[in-house]
This record gives sequence, structure tokens and C-alpha cells, in this order.
Amino acid sequence: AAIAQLKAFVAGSKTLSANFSQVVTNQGKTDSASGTLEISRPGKFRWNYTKPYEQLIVGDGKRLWVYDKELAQVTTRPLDAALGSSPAAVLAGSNAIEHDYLLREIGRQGNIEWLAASPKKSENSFQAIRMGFTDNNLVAMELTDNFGNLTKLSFSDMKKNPAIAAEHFRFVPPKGADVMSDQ
Amino acid sequence: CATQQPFQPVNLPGQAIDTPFSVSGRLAVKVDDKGSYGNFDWQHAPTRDVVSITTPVGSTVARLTRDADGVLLEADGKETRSANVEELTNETLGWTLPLDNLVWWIRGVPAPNAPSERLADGALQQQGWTIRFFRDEGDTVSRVPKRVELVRDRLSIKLVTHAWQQP
Repeated sequence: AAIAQLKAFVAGSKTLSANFSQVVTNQGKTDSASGTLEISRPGKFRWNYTKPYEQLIVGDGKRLWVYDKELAQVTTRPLDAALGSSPAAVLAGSNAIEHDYLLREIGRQGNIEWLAASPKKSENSFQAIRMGFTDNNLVAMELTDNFGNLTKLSFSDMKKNPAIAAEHFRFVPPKGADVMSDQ
Repeated sequence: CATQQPFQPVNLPGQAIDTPFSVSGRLAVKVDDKGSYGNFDWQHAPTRDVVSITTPVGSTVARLTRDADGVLLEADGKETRSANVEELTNETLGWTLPLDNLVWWIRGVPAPNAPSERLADGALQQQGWTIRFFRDEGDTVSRVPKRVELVRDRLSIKLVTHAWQQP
């Protein structure tokens, strides 16, 4: 069952690395992006978009940092205020998913077992989240927002418990970048 | 920071023709030292604009629709209407989005129906804004700038585009 796989996935990956690809459907238009994801529970992650643009999102355990290389812009806000906007923040929690979301089995598709996670607090920018698992690994996520837009994420080359230095999740704004606090 | 050169806008002869476009990018808005940043998706037609501000992962934070009936902003589960974009954004966001001019500036050209002036460093001055256009180093082909910066008084808007569709 997906919920059991989620628990095994979280318990079995104190750290994690993977590639992800993202397709967003917004009013019939689709935008694709891809990048890499690294997690160190609880609360530390790097969600790094590399294509078609470079945008690095870092959770350092306390604050969320977003660095847009082309704009030379860094934006930061408290990590707990950011849970709604980044699945990485959800994934990097040790029990954030069970704590902040109501979980429900929604069945199997091929070899993927799916669960639905609906946010307990409504201020979340996602109306619905679905997570797909195979062999206790997260392989896909689908996120619907309040405007009916759909984000499909697929994960590949997932490595569980790779050695990642804690330093790797510390973000220092690059020289020349403007830093702005978002909230 | 990104290595980019000034983008020299093409001076269009006579009346510029407004063609539809669809563009995705990111923008940062700053008033004094407070501000916000987000991805944007803008579908433009002469009679209708839909601008969505989204999180990096694609969830919409706000959506602005402008058509013959006026302007609608949907954000935080609320709907706000107004006569024009400048008034609406000023009321709800505390800063004015010059959408009418941005239709042209995002393409690297002055808005056709207002006087404009070119500064020595290539920047454009129009309707109280100073607008700078940049293109990627070595890109001599693109007809539109990669990055646009607009400044007026204490307000600065920087945007960069990564996907253009000009049907």
C-alpha cells in the first residue's frame, strides 16, 4: 500500500539524491523543467533546476533560499512559511507529510501505488498532492493548485542514504547577488 | 552575476503592430528593500492579457486577467476587480505594474503611443520609468531581450524570460 511505502521511504532515507523532471500544465500550455534533488532529513534540501534555467532552492533547516542565477536575485523566508510552495520542503520533513496532510490510498497504476495527501491547513498553495511509489521509492508526484493547474514530477536515479556533507545545505548568497526577504 | 550585454532595441518605423505572444520567465519586484520574486507566465493578445505568478514548481500564487470588461486579480482565494492594472496592483500589492508598457518593453521596444528618450548608456526613458534591456553574451540573433530592468522612484522590477512563443 502506498502509505506503508511512504513510511518505509521516509524511514529508509535519512539522506537522498535524485534527478527530477517537471511538467506544468497551465491553461493548456505545458512548461517543462528538470534538475537535481538532494535531501537530508529533517528540513535540509537542495532542489536545483538546471534546465531550461538555473534556479536553486535550498532549505538549510531554518530558512528557505531561492537563488535565480540569471536575475542575480536571492530571496529568503522562514522555512516553515515555505512548506506550501515547495514539495522538497514536504519531502525533507521527517514526518511533515503525515503531520500536515491527510493521507488516503488511491490505488495502483502499473507498478506504481498512489496515495493522495490533502493539506490539513488550507493556506497551502496546493489543493491536492498525489505521491506514487514503487519498491518503497518515491517515483512520481502530482500537484494540483487552486487554479486547476497540474504539476507532474517524476524522479529517477534515486540514491538512498548517500554521503552528503551538512555544509552542502548551507546557503551563502553569491557575491553580486541582491538578497531580498520575501516575508 | 550573469554575463550579459545591453540589448539594442529595434526602432520600429511608424505605428508598431501589437502581435500576440506567450512568454514564461521569472521576475523580482523590489520597493526599497522589501520585495517578492516568482516565476511568471504571460499570455498576451491585443484584447486580452493573462499573467500568472507561480512558484518554481508551478503552483499559481496569483493570476491577473485583463480584457474588455476590465481587470481581475485572483489571489489568496479572493477576487479583486478594477478599471486598470496600475490601480489594481497598487491597491492590492502596493506597487504598480505598468502592464500596458511592459507589453512593448518585454520585447525590447518603446511603447508606441508615448514619447520616449534614449539615454547615453542605451537605457530607455518612458513615462517616468528607466528601462534597461540585456541579451545573453554572444547572442546576436534574438529579436527580444533576455533580461529587462525597469526602475521608477523606489520601485524596481527585474525580469528574465526563458520561453517565448509568438504564434
